[in-house]
Amino acid sequence: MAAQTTMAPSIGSLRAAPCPDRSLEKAVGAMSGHHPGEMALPPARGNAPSPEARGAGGVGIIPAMSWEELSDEALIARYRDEADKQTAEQYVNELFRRHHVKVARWCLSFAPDRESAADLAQEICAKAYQKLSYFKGESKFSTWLFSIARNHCLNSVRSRANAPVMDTDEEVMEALPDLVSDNPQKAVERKQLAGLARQLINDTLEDTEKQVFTLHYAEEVPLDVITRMLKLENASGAKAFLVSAKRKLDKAVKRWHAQQ
Amino acid sequence: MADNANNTKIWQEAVSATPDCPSIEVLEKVEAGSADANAQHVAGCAHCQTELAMLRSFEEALPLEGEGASVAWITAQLQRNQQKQAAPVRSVLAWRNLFRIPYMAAAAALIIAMTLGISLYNGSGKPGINTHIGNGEFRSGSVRLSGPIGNISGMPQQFQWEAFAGAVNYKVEVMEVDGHVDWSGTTAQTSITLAPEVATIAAKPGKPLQWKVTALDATDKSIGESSTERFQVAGK
Repeated sequence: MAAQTTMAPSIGSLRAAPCPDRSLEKAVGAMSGHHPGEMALPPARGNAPSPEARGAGGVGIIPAMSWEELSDEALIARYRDEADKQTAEQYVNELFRRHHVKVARWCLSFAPDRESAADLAQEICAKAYQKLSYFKGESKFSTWLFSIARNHCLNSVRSRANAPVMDTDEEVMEALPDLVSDNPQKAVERKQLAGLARQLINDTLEDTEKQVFTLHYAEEVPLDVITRMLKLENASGAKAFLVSAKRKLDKAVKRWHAQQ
Repeated sequence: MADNANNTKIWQEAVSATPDCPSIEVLEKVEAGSADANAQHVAGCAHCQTELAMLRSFEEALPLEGEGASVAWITAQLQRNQQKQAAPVRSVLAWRNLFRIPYMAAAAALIIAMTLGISLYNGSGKPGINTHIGNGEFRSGSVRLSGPIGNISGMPQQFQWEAFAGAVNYKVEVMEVDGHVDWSGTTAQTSITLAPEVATIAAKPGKPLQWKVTALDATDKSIGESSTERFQVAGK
């Protein structure tokens, strides 16, 4: 997958930011009752100090605060409020820098090599930056970023047309347990059968088997990708769980048929 | 056969999202124990449990054995790309700030006027930009694509382009007409074979695709890019 132009700006100037005076920060924190993590950054050029920066009693002692101590949501809030573009970029730069490892590792699960994974990661960061105005704070930023990464990577896998039907392994290609034929009434709606299948899956399978089964059939994720994504360390990876799931469901379906 | 396809669809439907499945934002709260109203559904839903498993995997970000170096490499790429994007902005801002100073703007205008005046006085009417290098080959900032371009008779076997001066690698992208990238590959050669799964897409008669090539230097920095060319296998 190609790398798209990223909108995320440089962190070079971020690294050049001065280190905070921790002793002063602690003193002001004790005075104002604020947790050090809630202290304001030094006001940007052209901006008035924020209320927290003025401290209790209006004293203008502002300890410089390291970027790392601001929460993701605080960084986003400051990015949106900041009038100076360069300072604003520093906030969003730090925000994305914190999650590079998560995105990188996630993409590595889906891509055949690190270059493709890097392209995927780049596209995800660019998308997230472009859509940052849509982040409403209804979840953590990392959860919001996950939803972008999830959809982007699943779409990339689907576009590689690696659907389950293309598996060549016999055990994997074994047909799914048959709910449709031998259905004496034939009038049972597909929706009802899907509900039954859902129940059988929930009652019969272990957690990892459910996850592998779901990713493979609902999301069309190849087994090797599932193995890496879920960090399965058994010898056959996701394949073993899928085969086991099918066998258990086969028995469960046969029991159900016998009871009809 | 129809029964088998139907059967598969039923199982797929069973593990797909339903209207009762909450959003990922709510799932996050269920995981944190603060959305009890949805907890019962999540406990009995393979789809929701899978979503949570994926979210946990994303959040943990623990590389598998042997992945550490690749993760580090990718994050370094992301950092580098951020710096590349910011540099033009900073330099533009710096130049813009310089011209805010009135006397600097006036001095710059004077220099430009003098340069133009001198070149007009001395020039023979030909452009003063030397586009010839060394052996006389004309070079531009573009990578030139050889093919496939336009209507082609069968599935493209290889994508080919001309060598670009200074390029160490080339990145090839094959895209839908809306720009969505179907496939990307990197090579040090001036041709590349499509991955089989994308070649199958490209082989569909009448399906338009487009492609482009980016020349990269030793640091993976882009030094030249081709135009985006469209191609399609002629319809029957």
